[in-house]
Amino acid sequence: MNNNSKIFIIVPAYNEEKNIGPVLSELTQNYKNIIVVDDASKDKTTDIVKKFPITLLEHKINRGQGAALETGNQYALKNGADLIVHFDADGQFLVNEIEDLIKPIIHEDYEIVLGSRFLEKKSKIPWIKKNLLFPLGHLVNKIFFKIKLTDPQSGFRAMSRDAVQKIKIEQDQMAHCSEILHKAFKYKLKIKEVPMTVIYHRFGNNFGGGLKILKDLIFRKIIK
Amino acid sequence: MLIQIIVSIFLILIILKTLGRRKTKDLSSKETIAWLVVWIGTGVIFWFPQQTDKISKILGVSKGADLITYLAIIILAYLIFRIFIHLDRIEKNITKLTREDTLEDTKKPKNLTS
Repeated sequence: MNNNSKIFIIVPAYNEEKNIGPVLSELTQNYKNIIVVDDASKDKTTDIVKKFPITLLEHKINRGQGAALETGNQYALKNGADLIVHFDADGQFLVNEIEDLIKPIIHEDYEIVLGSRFLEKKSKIPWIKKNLLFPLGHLVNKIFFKIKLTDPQSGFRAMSRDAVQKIKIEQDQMAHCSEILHKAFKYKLKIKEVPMTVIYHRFGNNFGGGLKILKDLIFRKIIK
Repeated sequence: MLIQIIVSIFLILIILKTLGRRKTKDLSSKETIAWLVVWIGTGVIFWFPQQTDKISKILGVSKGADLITYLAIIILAYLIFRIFIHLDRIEKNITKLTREDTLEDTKKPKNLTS
């Protein structure tokens, strides 16, 4: 991979009319191939997205963030992506940190690079997330999926074309984070974590959401 | 006696419905037989409840009624599990169709680099 690699930024969006404008504004200043996958938003998300020179993929039925990312992945692969970045529409991630994620893939032959909230940079993480939900998530990932990373639930990631071809996201909802890592370890892909900053506008996944992820992961493990 | 008659009428209606669904090919032969065994078995238990005591003793359960409760829980748990799997398959298919539809609808934009 080299500096001319075709980079695709995939932004899954659901009811993000308040946040997606500034995110796309910054992204379009720095990257060419931006794909927004609208997951059947009920607000004006698509109207806002259409104002930008980007590709809009629209799910007619809400299928979840994992499903939206996989739709974006498939589109990017079909259009010759060498490198794919997953970026949230809610403005939690910093556009200038995308560079930190893609460099190890381009220059060091890594296949997956993940942003971690727990490396050097300091994100203001809500107390309950930091001290209860994240440790619990780490434990589940360690026991069930043998994933040993500082931030297994990070949604900020970059993947090489080969990695995306191998990792087909089957978890439609939020459990896709663990699924991607589980498959990355299973296929023995070269993984790196880099520090990232997260700006918390709202709480994100609450305890109920965490339990749902756990249920999805365990259920998938049982029926497979 | 009254409960046995009410249950029997109810079971006959269900059996007729099952046979009707077989006629319209909504159910396969195997499924029809399985459901008929369940409904007829339920009728037999209601008419001859004392027979379940004999079976329960062989299996080491004190009362026939307890045996029926245990079996009902196992069968219901199994059916719920099957429904979960079925729902999961339907969800996967909906996602697949939604994705195919989305990708077909999207034309390659001009701004993509070659």
